[in-house]
Amino acid sequence: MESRGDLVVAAIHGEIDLTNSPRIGSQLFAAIPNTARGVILNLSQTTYIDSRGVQLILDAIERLHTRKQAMHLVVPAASPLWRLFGILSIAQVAVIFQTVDAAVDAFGER
Amino acid sequence: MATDQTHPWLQGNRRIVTVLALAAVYFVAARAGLQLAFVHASATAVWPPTGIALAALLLLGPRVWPGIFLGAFLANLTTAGTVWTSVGIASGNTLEGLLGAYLVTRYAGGRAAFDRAQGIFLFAALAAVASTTVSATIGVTSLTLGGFARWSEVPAIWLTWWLGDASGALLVTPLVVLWARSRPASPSREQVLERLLLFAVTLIIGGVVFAGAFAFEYLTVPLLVWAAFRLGRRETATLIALLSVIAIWGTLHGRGPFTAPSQNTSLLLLQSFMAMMVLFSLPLAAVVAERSGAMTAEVRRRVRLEQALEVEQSISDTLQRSLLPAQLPRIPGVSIAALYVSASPEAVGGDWYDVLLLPGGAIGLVIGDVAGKGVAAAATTAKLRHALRAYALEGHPPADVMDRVSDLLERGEMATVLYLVLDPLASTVRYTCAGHPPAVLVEPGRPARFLEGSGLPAGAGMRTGYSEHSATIAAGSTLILYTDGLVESSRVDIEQGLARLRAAAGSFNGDVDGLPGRIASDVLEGGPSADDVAILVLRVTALDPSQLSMRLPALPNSVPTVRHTLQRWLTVCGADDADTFAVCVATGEACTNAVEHAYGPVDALIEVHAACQNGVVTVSVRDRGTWRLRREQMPGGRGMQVMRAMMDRVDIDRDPTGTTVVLAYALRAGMTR
Repeated sequence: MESRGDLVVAAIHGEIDLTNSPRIGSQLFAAIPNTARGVILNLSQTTYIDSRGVQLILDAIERLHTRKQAMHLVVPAASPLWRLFGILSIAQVAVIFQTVDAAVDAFGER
Repeated sequence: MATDQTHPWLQGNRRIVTVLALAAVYFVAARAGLQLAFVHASATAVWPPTGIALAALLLLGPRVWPGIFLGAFLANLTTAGTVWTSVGIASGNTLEGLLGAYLVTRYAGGRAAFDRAQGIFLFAALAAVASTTVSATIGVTSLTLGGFARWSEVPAIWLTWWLGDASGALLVTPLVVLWARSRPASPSREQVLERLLLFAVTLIIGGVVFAGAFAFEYLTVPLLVWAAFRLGRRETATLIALLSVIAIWGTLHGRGPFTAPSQNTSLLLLQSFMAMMVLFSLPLAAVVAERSGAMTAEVRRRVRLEQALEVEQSISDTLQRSLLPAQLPRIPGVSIAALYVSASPEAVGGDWYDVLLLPGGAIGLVIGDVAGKGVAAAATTAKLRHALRAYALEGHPPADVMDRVSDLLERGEMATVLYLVLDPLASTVRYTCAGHPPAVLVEPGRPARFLEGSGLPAGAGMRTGYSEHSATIAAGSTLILYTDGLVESSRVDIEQGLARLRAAAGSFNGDVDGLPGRIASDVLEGGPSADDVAILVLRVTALDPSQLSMRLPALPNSVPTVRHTLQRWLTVCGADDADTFAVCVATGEACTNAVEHAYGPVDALIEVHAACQNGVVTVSVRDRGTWRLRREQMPGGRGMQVMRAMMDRVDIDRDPTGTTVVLAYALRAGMTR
């Protein structure tokens, strides 16, 4: 968890599944102040995600949206997560970048 | 006159009824006694009212004395006498009873006098012999003053009176008191028959002896001994009364052993006989009852003691079992076995071990030893065990877990603990040791070695912070965790013990299940350990590429374990990263659903079977849970979508006992996509 200006960058290492997704969710929301313009969820170091993990990300995007905050995902091209994200059409609801810098830059453009 | 505090009126009325009833009984007994009059109408061989008066005063208390007075007064008035002589005699009878009851209560144990031999002798001396002189003196004086007897007759009348009262007290008081005091236990068939037999034999012998056919009074002794030894005090008193009635009847008719030239001699013989029966057989019965009562009490005490021991044993057993895992998880590629040997069957030790499936698919191994023994140590052990489980399951690293557990211990509580986290996927073990004997690592083709690095025991007082150590665990390696009872004893010092353990562990090449027993017998050399011994063994084994089976508790933490084991196995099968990810995600989804549906039984399990044939992987996930909701309502609906998209084929088979999901997937590894 780090902040870049008024952006929060949260990185998830390892695996996201039913055993830890509720905890990750509450940690994530606890780390996002109302003053933050947006959140960047860095999944570069995430090795595994299941439908619960995806549900968590979708819920987070929706919740932040009601607070007028945006969330960008970072998933490198080589990540195994793409397969699952493709199946569940995550790209339709989330903005995904290959690097954190690209995700930060995308906030600046707006 | 009423003295009861709560209901004086009721109490007073009840007392009047009691007094009147006593008067009636006394009156009837007196009239019956007069039938046995020898010398004078007011002086008889046996004067049962004396015994009844004494028994009533002992059982009901001195307050019932008016009943005695009234009964005696009426009995004398209707026999031979004026109001004034009757008042005098009744006064004597009443005073006699009151004095006798007082003396017996004061010195002979009161109504319990007949329970012990000493009480019976004291009763005879104080009540039968001493207090009866009062009635005889007052009664004879009253009669003489009233002109019913001449002064020359006084000594004879006085003696008859006194002996009659004494006999009455000796015969009747024990009989009434013994029967009134305790409710007789309902006798068995055999006991009833025995009583009837004794009754019949008594009638026959009594008839033979006192009707004069064979006037030898000692024939009655066997009957009395029979009653005293086999039947009890009540029955003995009853038999004495029965024999007395027969003896009086025979003697009055001039038959039997007590016929003598003078009536006085005859009377004296009869009374002596009755007194002897009482004084020898009642104490005998009391002694026999006392002895068997003492034996019964002793037996009862022993039975209670045994029961208490049994309860304690069962508490210890339950406690001990609750400190150890009910069953060890079966995970492919990891074999776990454990052994717990109690040093003594009674005591609960402070040793424990535990195996945990940690979030992330790692396996936690715990072994510890709480200082002390018994239930207190067991309670500390339970606290430590569950605290450690809680922190470990939250996913804290080993050193953090140990810090937190150590902080929980209270003053006076101390324990050595070793906590290892095995990551089968990474083939590493991370561990933190709090003063516990080091784990032994046996690697194939290398000498066994200790996993060194330890801090102070938990609760040792100083909070220094524990540090984490790590080691690589290749396939085929064995980890041995144990408590100090294994290596340290009065016979063997710790260095020797550790050397033996290393030798035993290094030379073992059998199944892991037999390893703890082998270690225990090798290191302890068959001898008993002075301390409890816990041994926990884990071996990392190679996986069989053709198939894989797992059976785990239907709990969330089982899901990563399944995934990680599958991941290792798929590598053996030749799957690439994409294959592995696809199969693991699909299986993970199936397991997640299974865990969520496994609602109801606490020990619900999920079973995972995987096979690989000709490049096609099949995984079946079976749960034995009942369905809480239809699948469409479950948040796992997206999971089904994932499974179908990632696998070549998904079959779902539901039956009343559970659901089986079968996934099939052809490995793409090496193929161009």
